[in-house]
Amino acid sequence: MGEEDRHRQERAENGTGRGEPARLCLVEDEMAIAEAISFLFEREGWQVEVVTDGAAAINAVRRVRPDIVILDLMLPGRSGYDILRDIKADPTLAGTQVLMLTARGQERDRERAAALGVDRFMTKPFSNLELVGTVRMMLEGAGEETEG
Amino acid sequence: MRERETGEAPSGREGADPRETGRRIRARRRTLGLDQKALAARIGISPAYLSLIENGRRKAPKALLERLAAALDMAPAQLLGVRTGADWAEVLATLAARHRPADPPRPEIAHAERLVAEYPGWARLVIEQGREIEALEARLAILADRLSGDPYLADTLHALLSSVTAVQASADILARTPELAPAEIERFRFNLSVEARRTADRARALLEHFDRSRLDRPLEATTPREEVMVLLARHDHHFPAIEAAGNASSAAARAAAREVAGALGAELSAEARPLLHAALELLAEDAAALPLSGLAAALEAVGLDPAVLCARLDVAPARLFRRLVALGAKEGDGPMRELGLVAFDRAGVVLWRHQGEGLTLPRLRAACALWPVFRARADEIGHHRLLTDRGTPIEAWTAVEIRRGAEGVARRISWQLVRQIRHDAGHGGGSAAGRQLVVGASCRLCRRASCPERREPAFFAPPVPESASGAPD
Repeated sequence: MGEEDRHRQERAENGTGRGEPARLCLVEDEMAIAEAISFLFEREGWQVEVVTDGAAAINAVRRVRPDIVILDLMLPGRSGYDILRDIKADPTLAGTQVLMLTARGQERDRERAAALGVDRFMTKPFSNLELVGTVRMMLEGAGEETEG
Repeated sequence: MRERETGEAPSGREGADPRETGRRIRARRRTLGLDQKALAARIGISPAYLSLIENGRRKAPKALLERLAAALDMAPAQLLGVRTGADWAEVLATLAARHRPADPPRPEIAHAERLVAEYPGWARLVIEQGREIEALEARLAILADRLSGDPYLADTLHALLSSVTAVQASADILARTPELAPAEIERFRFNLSVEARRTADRARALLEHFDRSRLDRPLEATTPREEVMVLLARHDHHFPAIEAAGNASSAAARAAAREVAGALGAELSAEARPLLHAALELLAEDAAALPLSGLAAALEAVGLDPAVLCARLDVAPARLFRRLVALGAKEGDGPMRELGLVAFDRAGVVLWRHQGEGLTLPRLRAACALWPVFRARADEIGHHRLLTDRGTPIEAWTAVEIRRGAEGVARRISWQLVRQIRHDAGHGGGSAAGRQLVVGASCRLCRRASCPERREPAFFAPPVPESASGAPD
């Protein structure tokens, strides 16, 4: 029990350099996907805030001030592009990275997300290992140059 | 001029298509008021065989074609679509009227016959290019819709990928996490089973969509409503069984509609079938309320004046519009054939579309906002003279129909009947042409250079700036 906790703590701090768990915000309207992803992230010791509505997303992000926002593109209320634009336009969120996670993986969507300053772009379906690995890499590389 | 055949004039080979020949036979037969049985008896074949020929499924041998032509009072070459010089001149004139450039010099339409006689090669080039352009533009309109406006494909694919993602993520957690708590196992199993079922449903829906696309309508039908419109168009919006039953009673017409919907619905998706049934039922009610014979008689008496016709026949404008179009379909090649009809709901979504000859009507949505249909009033038939973005003069009648929906909710549907104004007929009224409202089908296909209502750029660069008002955009 204690060992497991310590292990998680180590993993969680990995790369953040703050001595506290990484904070993530997951914006995803499909509950089954949100449950799976938050389970995976929590297992890594990361704190996860799940938002299922596009309109509520930006306020949640401002409140949580996460290290990374994992953002779906097609959302009720407000599109992922708009939320991405809001995040990137907010100077208080300068340290927040955005991983866009979408079933729309066309070149056009990637280009548009890149133009809006997205940090990473992943398409659904993804493998759990790949997703966790990408987020870990983003956390480790925070503040460094990322290879979008 | 029927005897003077210049089969070598522009592209005489096009008559080789048995479907075209069949269509000409049917049109001519209907014009002469003959039914299949009567014509078949005259030329000594079975009605079933004649039907196959008319539907283009059999090619009539030469001797039979000659008998057919004689019975129909036509030259065999005409049935095959080999045209005379005068016919070609008319084709040229129609093309020229459809694509009249904004600036002079304009085509000398009056001299079309001379052009064909003296320069058949040039005439042929113009005709073939004109047709090619029209075919390409029609295809472009469909593709543009498909790419940007196939909500069904985009949504279904997105939903499928989402449920696959959920299945994969849940299954992976269950398989790779030995220390899962019982409640977690329960939760992910539940998600897995729900999402697996949704994946199957969505995959099936997507397969059906592609299966349908593989049939003879590869591009057109992108939504259930489009499927119905494409099917109606393939039948020319004309269903003899419903018309015949409509002469008896409204109940008979509706029964016939049910039967036709049952027979034709098999080739549609499950979602499209109820829409087909509703559409045919509407046509059946129309047929019972206003038989085509009565409409034809009234039309002959007062001409194409919808307001007068409505009063005289005591029918609602939208019904009259639909019946006029039906009459055109029945006549095969009469003047009513040029009528187009389109209907929109309050959000501007196309609910009904009957493409008249030589007209471009919007397909799924995003119709030109300038169309008078969007200003149609419930209490009167509007009548407007317009110019298309290609310079073709058209006239449009508009009317609003209030229909009770399933829960007694009133639906407000705006109808617009359109037709091209023929060059000679519209000549007198052309003085105000410069000030006429210029409309297109939809922004992506519109050539109008500056338009206050433009939502998105056109595929084509606009050819010439508008000379009419000169108002900068």
